[in-house]
Amino acid sequence: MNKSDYFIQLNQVTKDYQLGKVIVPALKGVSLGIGLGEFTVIAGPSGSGKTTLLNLIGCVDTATSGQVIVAEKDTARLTEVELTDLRLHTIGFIFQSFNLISVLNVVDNVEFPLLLQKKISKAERKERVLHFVEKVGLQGHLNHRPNELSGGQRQRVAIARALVTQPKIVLADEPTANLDSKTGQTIIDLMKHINETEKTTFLFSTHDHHIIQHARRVIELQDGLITKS
Amino acid sequence: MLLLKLAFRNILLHKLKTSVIGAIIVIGTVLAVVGNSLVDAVSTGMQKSIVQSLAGHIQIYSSHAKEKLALFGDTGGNVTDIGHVRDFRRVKETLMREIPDIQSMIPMGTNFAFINPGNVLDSKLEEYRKNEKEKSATELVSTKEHIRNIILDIQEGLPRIAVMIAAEDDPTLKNSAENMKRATSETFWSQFEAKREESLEFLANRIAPLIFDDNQLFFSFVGTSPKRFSEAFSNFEIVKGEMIPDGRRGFLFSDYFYENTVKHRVARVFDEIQERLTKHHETIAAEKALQDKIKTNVASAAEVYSQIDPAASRIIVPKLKSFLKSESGDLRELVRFFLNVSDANFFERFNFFYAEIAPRIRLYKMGLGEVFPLSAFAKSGFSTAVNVKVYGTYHFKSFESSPIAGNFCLLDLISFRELYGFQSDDRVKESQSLEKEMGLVDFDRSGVDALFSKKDLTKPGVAAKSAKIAVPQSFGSFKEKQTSYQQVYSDSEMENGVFLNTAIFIKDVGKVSQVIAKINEVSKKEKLEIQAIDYNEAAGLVGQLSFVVRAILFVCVAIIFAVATFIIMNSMLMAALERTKEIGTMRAIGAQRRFILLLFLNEASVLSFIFSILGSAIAVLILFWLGRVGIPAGGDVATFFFSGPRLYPAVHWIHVFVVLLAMTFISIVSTQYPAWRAMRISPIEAMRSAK
Repeated sequence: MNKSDYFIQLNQVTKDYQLGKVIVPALKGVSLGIGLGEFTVIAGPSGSGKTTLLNLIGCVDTATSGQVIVAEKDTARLTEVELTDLRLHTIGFIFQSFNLISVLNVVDNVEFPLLLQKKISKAERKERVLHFVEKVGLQGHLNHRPNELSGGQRQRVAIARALVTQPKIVLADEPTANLDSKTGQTIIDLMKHINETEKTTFLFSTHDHHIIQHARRVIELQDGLITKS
Repeated sequence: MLLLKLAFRNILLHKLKTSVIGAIIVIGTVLAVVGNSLVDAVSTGMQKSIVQSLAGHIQIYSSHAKEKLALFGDTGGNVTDIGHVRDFRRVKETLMREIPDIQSMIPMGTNFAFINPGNVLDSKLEEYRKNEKEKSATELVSTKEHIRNIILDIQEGLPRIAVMIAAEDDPTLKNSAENMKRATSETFWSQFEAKREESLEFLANRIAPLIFDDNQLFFSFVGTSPKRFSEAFSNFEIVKGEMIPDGRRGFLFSDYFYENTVKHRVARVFDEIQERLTKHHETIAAEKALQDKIKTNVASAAEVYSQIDPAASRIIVPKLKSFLKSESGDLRELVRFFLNVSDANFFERFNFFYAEIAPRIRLYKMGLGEVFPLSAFAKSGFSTAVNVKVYGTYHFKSFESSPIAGNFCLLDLISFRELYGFQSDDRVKESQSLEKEMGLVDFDRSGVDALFSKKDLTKPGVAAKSAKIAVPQSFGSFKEKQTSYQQVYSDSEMENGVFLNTAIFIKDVGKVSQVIAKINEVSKKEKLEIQAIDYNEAAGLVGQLSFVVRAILFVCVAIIFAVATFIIMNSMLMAALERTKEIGTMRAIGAQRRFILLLFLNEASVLSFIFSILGSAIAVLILFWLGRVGIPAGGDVATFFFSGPRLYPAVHWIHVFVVLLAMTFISIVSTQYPAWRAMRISPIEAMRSAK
């Protein structure tokens, strides 16, 4: 695959955090490319820089140096508003703690990003929401609030919410960390299924070896450096 | 819709925060709406009271006044020095001609006066002289007996007042014990008729001053045209006696003053107890203040029995004996016993007092129809006096029990001018003829200076030849002018003279400011040398009270609003911090900062809208209820502020609207900082807090 074919491209990316007077390097010159349709895992022990890497790719953080290109856009050159817009239309997020909006029910949570996009008609919104809720198997829980759902069900809602805008890529930060192994396995199977049927790119971080086995591509991180790609 | 949905659901979810913010908004709204309506009602009441009791819509007075006009007195309750304006007719004709909005003008002047009606011995000595003149032998004997009884009462009380006598620096009180011995001796009374003048002089000068009482009356009065005054002030009403006949000199007591000061002290205490028992449902047994008043009344028993002459005593003693079922035949003992009332017998004794005792004593220090010398300080600083006849008492309807509205007695303007130091046409002619008779020594100013200069002290009595200032030789005649109260005066005489201030009523109350501006303009153009102010300013300190009440309310509301701002801000800030993860998530999945700002503003607006409406509804209900039942005036002063015995506040929808706007504004302002903090929450927080 040529460099220009990658949907996401990182060139010599470093990221330092300032902790008081001490500068802590999280990424020490990472270069990598991710193409569309991939089902890729970023693996590594805690503190290796997995979340930092996902944050940079997900445009919620900026690199200290190097270049992060998402959908042919150099994220360092984008304004705050443009970055938010890029996230809204291009990237879907799945969080370790599900991060659902507690006061909204399943349908509203899933519909939320569509409402932010504004240009989608009510009918289309309804159709898309029901499609993805059904896809994650929660059609029987449409009006349930997050506190009325199990951990696995909440993560399914989060997956539906991430997919409803039909993003090019879905980023998932340790999506099974708060789930038991059986539920975790189901979630990974679901994501893999969606990847195959909807051709959605999945990039997720984990240090769970059982999940790593299911990835088509594994990027290993160790102390802020890629050790295997 | 999404924002509203989120706002409503967050409000419902965070019940504690919602309750705290809601409570403060409801309290603030209720206080602001009810408070404003109350202040408006008080303000309107005061306006009505001030306009209708003395001020009119506008007051004019001299533009050369040393002090500002304060109808109800300055901070010390004193009459302010506002000078005078020479020609009422010219001012009136000019203003009425130039300003068609003026309806009526009532010339006035206020001053402070005092009367000493004399004590019981003085009045009995006067009665003795009168009986002697009328050669009424039976009455003469009875009065003499009464005088002897009064002197015995004084002797009895002498040890009690010894300290007071010692404290007084009054030469007439010197040797009081010896004087009393003489006044009670048989020799004195056996020679009474023989040495009649000497005896009466002795009793009047040496014995009567030993009666320490509160007979001296001090009061404010307004000199005016009684007819115009009663016509212009529509609430004016004669209570006792009659109106001063048009063109006659005369005096009207304010009924409040007459009842609360001029009335016999013992009767006043009876009245007060009766009012407190009936209106306030108090009991003597439970109220120490009432018990103290009864004790005072018993101690003042002499003020009742010393006024009952022997003839009356012979009638009242058997009645009292029978009424009190007493064996005693001593009037003093019976009166003391009678005055010691309790809850069980009060109303019975109250009725007996007014039916049997009151007609036999001097119930008012000044009776209606009496003529008395009214003393006041003239502009020169000298005390002057005029004789006036008391025609009756008056009050202003709906604030009968207000000491402020009832503060002023009424005097005809002609007598007022004399007291102030200006003479009527008749008096000028009279004085001129007197001057001829008496002869005058004339001084010019340099002559006076020369008289008192150091150089000329060696040559006292040297006067300049050129005569410019006339000084009467007898200062005594200048000090105590006596005017015939029977004199009549014409309308033209009343109009052609000075006034201190004038109340102006206008046709359209809404035009007060315009008319004031016009008056000042006309005064400048026509050199009237007057200035105009509105009723509120003219009321001086009293007028400022409505501003003070409003200011206090504003401070309270401002404090409540400040507290509301702080609490709302704090609660919203806490909410922002608690919802960091949620807000970070929203930002991560594509919500712009503006969305977060609107999220918070919507929440605050919905909260303030719901609770402001609730607060307004409560306030409106409270006001409807108060408007129906009224707020009772707690005291006599309050009747003036309420313009009646009860205040009936009304709902002013403009207040409700303004308070709703203010509350929404406060909510939005107080949400700015929390919203700004929420907007700064980075989408990375969604990831970070997940760890």
